[in-house]
Order: sequence, then structure tokens, then C-alpha cells
Amino acid sequence: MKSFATPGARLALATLVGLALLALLAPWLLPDPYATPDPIGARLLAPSFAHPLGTDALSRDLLARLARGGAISLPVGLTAALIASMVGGVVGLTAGSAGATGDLLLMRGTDIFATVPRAFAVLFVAAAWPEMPLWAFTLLLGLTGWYAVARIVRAESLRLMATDALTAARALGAGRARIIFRHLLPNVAGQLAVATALGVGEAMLLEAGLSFLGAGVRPPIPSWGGMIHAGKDVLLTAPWATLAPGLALTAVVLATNRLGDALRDAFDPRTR
Amino acid sequence: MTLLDVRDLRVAFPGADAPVHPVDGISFHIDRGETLALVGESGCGKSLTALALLQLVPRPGRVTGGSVRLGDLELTTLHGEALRAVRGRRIGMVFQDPLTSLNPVLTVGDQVAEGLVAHGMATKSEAARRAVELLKEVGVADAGSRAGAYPHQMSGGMRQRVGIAIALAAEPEVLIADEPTTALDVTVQAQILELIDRLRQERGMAVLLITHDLGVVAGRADRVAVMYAGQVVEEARTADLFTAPAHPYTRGLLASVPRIGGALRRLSPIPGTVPSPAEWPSACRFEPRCGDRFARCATERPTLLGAGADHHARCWLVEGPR
Repeated sequence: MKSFATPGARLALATLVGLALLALLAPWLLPDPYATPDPIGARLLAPSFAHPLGTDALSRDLLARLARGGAISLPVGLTAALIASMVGGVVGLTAGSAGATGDLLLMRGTDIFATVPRAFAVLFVAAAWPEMPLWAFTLLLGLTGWYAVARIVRAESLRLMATDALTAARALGAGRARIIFRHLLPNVAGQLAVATALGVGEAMLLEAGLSFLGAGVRPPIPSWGGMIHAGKDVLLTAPWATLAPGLALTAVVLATNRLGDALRDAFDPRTR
Repeated sequence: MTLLDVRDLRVAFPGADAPVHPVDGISFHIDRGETLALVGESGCGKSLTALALLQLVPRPGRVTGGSVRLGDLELTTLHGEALRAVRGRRIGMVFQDPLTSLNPVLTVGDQVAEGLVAHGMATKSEAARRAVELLKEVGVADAGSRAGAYPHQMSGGMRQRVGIAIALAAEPEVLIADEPTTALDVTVQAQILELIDRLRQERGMAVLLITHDLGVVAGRADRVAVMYAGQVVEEARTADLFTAPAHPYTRGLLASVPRIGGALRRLSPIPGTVPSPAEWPSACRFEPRCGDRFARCATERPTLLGAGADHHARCWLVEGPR
């Protein structure tokens, strides 16, 4: 895959693979992220050989918590973005190929959903359902994140429907399903990949933000947002407790964006 | 025997005040194994006519009148599955620009096979094999490996051969070729036209050849229908049209084309351009640009008048000099 051979794409891929490996291998390599071996003496230790990223206010190893947090935050963000792209893709492709009335109904429906701010919707459900499990939280992130995808896919589908290629497809007798899956979907796959990659970063940031507000992943389960939240109280005395998860989050968001670009190029035979 | 019979076909688009009709009462017929050329300047409605036959007029336009009969089947009232069963299967279409009319992200083999699969004529693997045969038939060298190529990896001429293979895949009875050579180099044009002609003979298809180029018409078409401003203004056998054009517009078209071997003369272009559909004169639509106009032309709308055997022209001069 030529489009993954650029230095930027390689670095992005290495970042994600590295973090995923860290998360997967953590149980064997790192201390228990929940253990509080010495609640008094080992509080807020600066990075050292024993604790590469230091410890938090409860004397837990930050690298272990970062790894475990990644094992939570990465799949949550990825799954939420995939759900959003699937729902948005289906709505967008259907609207773009449905004709004026179907398009109008679907897109105005989308507008209505989109009037509810995403963070507000999640906070509302979190308030009403204090015991919300992680899968429900992930689903909720996905089901509140598809509006932009639907609009992008619908706009691109409308443009494609007006091209000679789609007229030609209809002229040779292609039915609705064939139009959508053979002619529209492969042509919007690049944009869909970019939207999904952006969605991963967005969902992870939202997850971090909501966990920061206490409405996302619940303590003691580590999540990067929750770690930033906990670190802010000791920001001046132990900045590493905030910096580590913050930088990890930044790196992942940048990496997914870059990989989205590479995926888009990979889907287009003209740049392959 | 008539295979495709088009009568008074009208296509309407919403206009500022009233709907406009860029195709306004077109009639023609094509026999099995025959080539009819539909000739006219840009904007006269010839491509729209072709799209209207298969109900592919772009929104917000629509067919508002007339009939299109394919054998015993009326096409203007078809929709859904019945319409889909005609598209590609009974009427195939070749488009003007093979680069924009091919799907950029599918291999050409897949695209040729698509018609067969869409009409349930072959399984996927059979269709893939048949696609290679079709590519071979339309003269794509090394068809077996070229079937895996994407459109952008081919030359313009090869792409148009692919376009023809796509149109022919489901063995249609009628082939509509909408300016099939306009986007191609002159050297390739003749090859493509010869290919279409050979396939017509081999398969006994009826061909509707749409073009603005009278040179294309001369060698290939059995009959010619000349379009101007949404109407057919003259219809004749090809030889008659070239030797005895009856409509001033046809004469103007012929006079604006250089001829090799003819007497040396100045090319005489037709003054002005085709007016837009909203500005068409109510009587004879060619009257403002016509060198032979007289009083009646501005007041009375001419119909298609007999100008000889199988020869009609929409001009009052056919009835005799003014």
C-alpha cells in the first residue's frame, strides 16, 4: 500500500500500534493499575525507573493506568466512530439516491437529531442512568455522532448522482441497490474513511471530556479523560499526572487523522 | 420493419414564467439493422432526446408528452423494474465522454460485466469471462489483463471501446450512441465509428447515432434527422440530404463544412447561435437566422412537409418558392 509508505503515515501507524501493544501487553509488563501499594509514601512520585511516568495521588503507577486507559479509550473511540460512520453512511447514501422527497425527509430528520448538542445528550443520559455500562456509553457516542457523516456522504452522493457515470449506470439497467453499493459507496469510501478517522479522535476527545466531567468512564476504571480530571488538582505539583494522558490523547487524535488521509488515498485507484 | 418509433416526444423544464420545452415534439423511427443519425448544433436538444428515450432526463426536467414504442412496448409509461429491464438489456447507450461516464473506482472488466449481472444473464464469474470476450470483440488488445485496469489507466480511444462493450454486454436491440467520438482524437474517431458499424451489421442492431458532425453522418447513416431548437427540421435518406437539402438550416450546415475536392469556395457559417428554449420564436424557429425567410415564416408555424420520397422538411419553401 503506497499511501501508507509516507513518513507521516508510518509514524501515525507506529503510534497507534505502539499504544495498542502497550495496552494489550500491560497485564504482563506493568504493575496492577488498581493497586495502591503505599498510599502515603508513594503518592505523586516524579517519573523514575520504577515508575516511568510517575504515580498519581493514590500512588498508582501512571504508565499502567495510561496503558489500561488506552485499552478503554481506544476501543470506545473506534467503535463509536464506526457506529457513527455506518449510520451516517446508510442515511447519507439513502438520502443522496432517494430523489427529492426521500432526501428532504431524511435530511430534515437528521437536522432535528443534530439540534441536540452531542455532549448534552450524553450528559443527559448519564444523569438519568448512573449505572450506564461502557457498551451503552459507546453506543450513545456513536448514535450521537453520525449527523456530519450523513451530510458529507449525502452531499457527495448527490454530486455523483448527477455525473455521467451514474447516468450510464442507470442506462445499463442498474437498480437501486446496485447504484448504492457498486457506484456510490466505492466513490464515497475515501471520504467515509476520513470522516471515520476524524470521528475516532472526536469520540475519544468527547469521551475524555465527559469522563473529565464525571459522566463518562467511571472511576476506578482508568480512562485518559478521567486521568486528566484527576491530575488537574495537582497540576502544579505533579504536572506529569496530567501531561501523560493529555499527550497520549493528542498523539492518538493526530495519528488517526493522518491515517484517515492515508486510507482515503488507498481507496482511490487514481492515487494508489 | 420499425423497431423504435418515437412520436411527438416532449421534455419540459420549469422556466422563469412558463415551462420550457428543449425537446418539443420530436418524431422519428428506426428499423432493425438501420442507422439513423440525429444531427444538430449544441443546445438543439439531441442529447436530451436520447436520455428521454430511457427516462433519464436530469431533474427537474421530465417527459411531458408523446410516445416511445420499442416493438410493442410503450416506454414513456414504464417505471421501476419494467423500466430497468429495458435499460441496457433492450436499449444500450454509449456516452460522449468515456472518462466521465465510466466509474473511476471500478475496473473496466467489472463495469462491462455489470450489465450482465444486473439483468441476471450471468453469474459473477461467467460475466467476468464474458467481459473479457466483449473487450476482445471491441478491439481492446490484451483484453485478459486490461480487464483489470482502471479507466484512468487507458487511453481515450480504449476507454470509448470499453464504453461500447458496456453498452453491448446485455445484447440490446437498439444502440444509442450520443456523440461517441466527440471527445476523441480525429485518428481514433474513424476506428470507433467503424467498430459501431461492424457491430451493427453483426448483431442486426438498430443504431441511433447522435452527432453534430456531418462528416460522421455521411459514411455511416442510412437516414438523417436534422434537429434545430427542439424539433426535427428535416428528415431524409442520407444521400438525398447531402445532394438535395430542403431546409435552409441543413443547407447552412452543409455550407459551413469544408469539402475535399469540391469547388474552392468560402465557408459560410450560419449567422448567430441557437437561441435558448425560452426565446424560441413562435412561428418558424429558424426564421431569425434564415437567409431565405419571407413574411409567412414569422407568422405561421411550418409543419414537416413532404419534400420527396422519405424526405420531409419543416419549411414553407418546400411548398414552392415564395
